[in-house]
Amino acid sequence: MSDRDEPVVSVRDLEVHFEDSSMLNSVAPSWLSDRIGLTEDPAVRAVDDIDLDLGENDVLALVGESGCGKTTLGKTMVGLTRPTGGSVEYRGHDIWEVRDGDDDGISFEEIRRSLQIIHQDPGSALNPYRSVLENLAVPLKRWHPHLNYAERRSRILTMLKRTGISPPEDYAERYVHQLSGGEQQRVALIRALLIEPEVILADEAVSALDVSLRIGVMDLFLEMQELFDTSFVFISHDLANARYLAGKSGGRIAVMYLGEIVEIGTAEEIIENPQHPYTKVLQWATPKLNPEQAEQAMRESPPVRKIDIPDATNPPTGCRFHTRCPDAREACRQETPDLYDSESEQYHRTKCFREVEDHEYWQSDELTDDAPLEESSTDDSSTVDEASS
Amino acid sequence: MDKGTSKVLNDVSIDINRGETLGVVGESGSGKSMFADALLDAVVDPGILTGEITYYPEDGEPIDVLNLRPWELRELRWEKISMVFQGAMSAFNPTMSIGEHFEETLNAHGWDEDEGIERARQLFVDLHLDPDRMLSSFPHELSGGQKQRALIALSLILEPEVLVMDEPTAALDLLMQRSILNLLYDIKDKYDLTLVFISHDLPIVSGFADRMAVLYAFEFVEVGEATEILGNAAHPYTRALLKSTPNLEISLDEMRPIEGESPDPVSHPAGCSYHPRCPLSDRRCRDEDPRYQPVTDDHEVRCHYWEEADEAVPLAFGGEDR
Ligand SMILES: Nc1ncnc2c1ncn2[C@@H]1O[C@H](COP(=O)(O)OP(=O)(O)O)[C@@H](O)[C@H]1O
Ligand code: SF4
Ligand code: SF4
Ligand SMILES: [Mg+2]
Repeated sequence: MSDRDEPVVSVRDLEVHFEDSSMLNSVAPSWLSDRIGLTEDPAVRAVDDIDLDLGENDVLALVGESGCGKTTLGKTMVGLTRPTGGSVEYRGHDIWEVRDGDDDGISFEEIRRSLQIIHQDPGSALNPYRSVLENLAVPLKRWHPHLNYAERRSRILTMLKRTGISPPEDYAERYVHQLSGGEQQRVALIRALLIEPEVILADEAVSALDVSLRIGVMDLFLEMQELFDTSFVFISHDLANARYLAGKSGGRIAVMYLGEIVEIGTAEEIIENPQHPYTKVLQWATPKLNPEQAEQAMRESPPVRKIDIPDATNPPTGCRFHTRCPDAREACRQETPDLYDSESEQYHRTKCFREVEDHEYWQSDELTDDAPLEESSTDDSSTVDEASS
Repeated sequence: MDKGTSKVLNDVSIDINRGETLGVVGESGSGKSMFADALLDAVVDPGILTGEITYYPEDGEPIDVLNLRPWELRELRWEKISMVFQGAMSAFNPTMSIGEHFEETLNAHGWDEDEGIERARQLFVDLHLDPDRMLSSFPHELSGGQKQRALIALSLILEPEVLVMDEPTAALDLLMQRSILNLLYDIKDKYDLTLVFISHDLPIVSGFADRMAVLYAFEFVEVGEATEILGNAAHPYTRALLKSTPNLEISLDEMRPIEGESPDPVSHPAGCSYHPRCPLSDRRCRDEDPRYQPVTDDHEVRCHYWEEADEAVPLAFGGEDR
């Protein structure tokens, strides 16, 4: 899978909290704002307590509901968001110490070049009224200023050809706004690859595409990953996409819930042998193609006690999933589970007491909701759950 | 072909049965939103709607939708056939509370406000929303999933018989989308609803729709019972679409993208519109537009060679036993 001995990016005790109260006020209902005024910590706890290594040539897929912190974790891993706690290292250098001038071993520019991002909306990184060639020249001018026009053009045409675009000369002259969504995503990928990064973060890169186009674009990402030995962090709210990307590349899937990684393992383990109750919820939500199973999934209710995700400014105590978990017991409200090793031949860890045979969880009482709606009015609150957030 | 008239829906014919859930699936540009608009004669100029749309109310005479007066159409639109459109996030007025939206709708149609709000409370409970909090909230205070459910409640407040939803959940994450479908599935009998759910995403309606209609290039190419469409698809396009769907059940190597591009409205191919992409196409397909062929009693397909489709595009759940 990856060269774990020397990770490219390594994250320890990561914590990203947003104090931005203007953003908070715009999403929080007034009764919540009032309540928040009384609490000590009004921050959105977007990411908490995460340890993660990304190796060379490694693929990691982050999945979870909107608002669970995927984008924040991804952006922090590529040095775009500064963590409020813990550390992010690039090849052994603390990214933010380098940035602050406390580490002379490497320049911040070099780190920024090595870690690139592709957004959900490829158009946002491209100028629609310029040609493909002009768009692709921008990163080359910035990162390879010594190249002249002819050299830049030849590099771009070579790259277009390698990504299966032919004839590249024609394509290079087209305007970005004339391209389809899938083609724009392709250009965005080429743009990132031209910079020759070591890691590319692709945030919901296929979610907005028609279903029939997704496999094609994912195949292209995987081919490029292999061709250029780039590591990828893929973000998706769709477990089937995560399975395809991580499964085909021998990578891992990490399931996030309210800022934490609750289960992580090889694609095969997470899909065939999911352990965390939340991962099973995501499985339920993934449409089935087998007609009998499709009907059965619809007859069953989602395996959660509540549909809405709690507010990230005030996550539940103990296990953060305990307010929705169908298997929650009293112990889950009081104690926080670790990321335990799950029983498996392959890499697989799960943040749930049910992984621990002799945990007191098994002796404690089941949690039930006497008045679920009453509770939801004080416990839960608004969250931004658009897939694009 | 005349460059001026771009085809957005072509020779479309479909029945929607009372009490059923119809899933209309079609990819970008296939004409699915046009279908929704056509149902309620809401096609905007310069679009021209020809043909007939008949609404058969539970009690009373059939209604010819295309010949209604504006006020009759308005009544039909809320009280008989209600709609939830794409981009519902902006359907609410940001300066009005959710409760005020309900009051406004009730008053505009001359319905009793107190009774209506009582019904709204019940709808909220059925959609797993807290009634008190909902009525007093402003749209920006709600999450996308809550807003979408509030909008569904609003569209049901005048007790329509038919609810038409055009990509109502596409902006939400998969778990919220499927949770909302699950809630609709649970309440549709209680509210005596006929549902039409339009989506670009065929798998999203799997298990939810009783029947499915697959749009390709402005035509329904296959219509039938949902289990048939999933398990025994007869059109090469439907089969290719299923094969291209990322999923958790089939081995990764069996998933394949569809080759080629969908036609655009101005360059509608002659003959079968799928022929440039179809592995089975031959001269007949290029010349002759296929008619509907019955596959079963409740399964029709527009393809000359549908009997060969399962061999041409094999599927894991594809039913080789026709
Ligand atoms: N710049 C920001 N300021 C304040 N809160 C933010 C900011 N970015 C994200 N958040 C909040 O952090 C949480 C995680 O968000 P995000 O990382 O975007 O999740 P995801 O990508 O999984 O949808 C959410 O509650 C979101 O509202
Ligand atoms: S620790 Fe408890 S609440 Fe958390 S996932 Fe496990 S069983 Fe559910
Ligand atoms: S009619 Fe011909 S081209 Fe069209 S779908 Fe059938 S076999 Fe393919
Ligand atoms: Mg995100």
